[in-house]
Amino acid sequence: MKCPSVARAMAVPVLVLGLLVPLSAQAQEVNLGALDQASNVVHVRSGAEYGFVAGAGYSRVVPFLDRQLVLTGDFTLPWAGLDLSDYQLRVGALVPIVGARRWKLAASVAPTVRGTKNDIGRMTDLGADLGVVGGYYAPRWFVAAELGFDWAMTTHVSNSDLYRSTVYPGARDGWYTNPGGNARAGLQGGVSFGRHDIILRIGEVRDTSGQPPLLPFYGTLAFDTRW
Amino acid sequence: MRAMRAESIRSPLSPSVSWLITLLALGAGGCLDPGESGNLVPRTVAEDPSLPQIAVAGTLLHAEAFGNPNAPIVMVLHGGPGVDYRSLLPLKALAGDGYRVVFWDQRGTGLSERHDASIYTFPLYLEDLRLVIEHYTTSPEQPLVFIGHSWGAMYATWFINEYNDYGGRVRGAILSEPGAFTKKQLDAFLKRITGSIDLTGEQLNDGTWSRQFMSPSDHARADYLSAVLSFAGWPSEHHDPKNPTPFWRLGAVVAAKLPSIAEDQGFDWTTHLAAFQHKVLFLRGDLNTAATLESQQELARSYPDADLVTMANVGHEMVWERPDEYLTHTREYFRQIGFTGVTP
Repeated sequence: MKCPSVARAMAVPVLVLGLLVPLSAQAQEVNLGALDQASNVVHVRSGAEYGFVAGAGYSRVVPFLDRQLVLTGDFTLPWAGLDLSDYQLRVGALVPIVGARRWKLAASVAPTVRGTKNDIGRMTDLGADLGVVGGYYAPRWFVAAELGFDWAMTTHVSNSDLYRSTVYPGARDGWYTNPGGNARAGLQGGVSFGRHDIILRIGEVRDTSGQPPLLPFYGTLAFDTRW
Repeated sequence: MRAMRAESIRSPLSPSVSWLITLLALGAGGCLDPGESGNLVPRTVAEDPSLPQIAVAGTLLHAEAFGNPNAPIVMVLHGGPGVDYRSLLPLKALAGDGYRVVFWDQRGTGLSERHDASIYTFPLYLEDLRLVIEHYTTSPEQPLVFIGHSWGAMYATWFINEYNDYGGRVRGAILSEPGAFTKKQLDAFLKRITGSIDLTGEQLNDGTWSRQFMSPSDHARADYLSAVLSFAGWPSEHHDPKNPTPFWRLGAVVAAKLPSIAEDQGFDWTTHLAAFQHKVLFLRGDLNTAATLESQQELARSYPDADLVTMANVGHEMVWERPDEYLTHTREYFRQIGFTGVTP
């Protein structure tokens, strides 16, 4: 059992997250070129990302060391076969790190809690999404590339009675460390008009085995309102 | 957890951040290894020597046999590829009729040893079956009959196409809802079976959503995750939800690799079936809308002598859900072909 070493290894990213999150926050979909007059953003989003999903969130834009930091909270549900046991809650920070005029590069970190319940059991995952997004951001439109890694740091599994009675009575419940993650690469682009943005993200996903997951791509459409 | 979630929705920043960091710290103390057999999935024969097993062609297979070792062999071939023989154990009753009933988890499935995907080839998989037959053979002319379920029925046909009656030893076969004997038939079958999945239904969503919680980075995790989507079976197969089909452990690598080989290389396992001069019995359930009557009739026509029997009000898992009726058909078929047991 690798428990002690894994715990030590994971203590570092947990500490980093603990330091980062109070300073800043994250938004997956935002036009960095249209934030000058805004301090609040709400968004709704739908599309396909590990299932057909719908989500909503709120972002607060705050100044930090001559930069705009976007602090975000976001709640997502898969709506296909709606089951409130399936959810994702994410908070985080989008941090502009370099930029020249309209060319910008931002990094994001977003601690995540998600849950699911299915035939074999109930799972609750604590993880973190780490990403970078960079591109051309004009006040009325933008296009950017994004890379990210959605890390399942630890997942609690409670195996179902069905799984125990039909498959494996000895299945162990508990926290499973470093169970996996998914890397993504894609594009996002959007248009901004008045106080609103419409933003499309598309891309591909690979899991930590290097293979595409069951849903190997993502595509979401978001609508933001700024004030 | 639910209370915390509700709180965070009202105020998504500082309260949620604080409890999330707390939870992350707690999570970092988790100490179960998802890749270790015995935690989420049972150990294989390679990890648990106490399990019944045989060594064949460089692998360890989970296998057991019942009945007189010198009796005519009933070689049971499970479905999938990637499932196991647990749900076919009601056929053990045939040992009491004077047969040697052999169950085994095919390479990389059930509780058999796991291997990397790169080792799998069609010739290797076919040779496994021949060597399992040889392993349980006690005399050169010991007769045998296949009982193949689903993919197992395809596997039996593949063997017969390659070896005919194997020097007079294979006296027949019971084929329960094989999907296809050729690549063209397989494409049509897969269209029927995958078409039964509701793209916006909970079964598919559970399969896709669960991939955020764990990745199939090793056999244990891959096999465990496979169960999320496949537990209920394909809707077209009409499993009885009140009587779920048991299995030991799915073989995710095999389940992906063999169809991949079939897709890349194609196959036609009907080319020599005309030479098989023994009666074959096709058994199907009328609730299965993927193994339609027409499709099973088409497959049966590949053999010179085949009967097709439809069991009423049952789906694909007919052995598990209706064992007595299945055994009745089996015994009647054995009587017809003169496949007689010995004193148990």
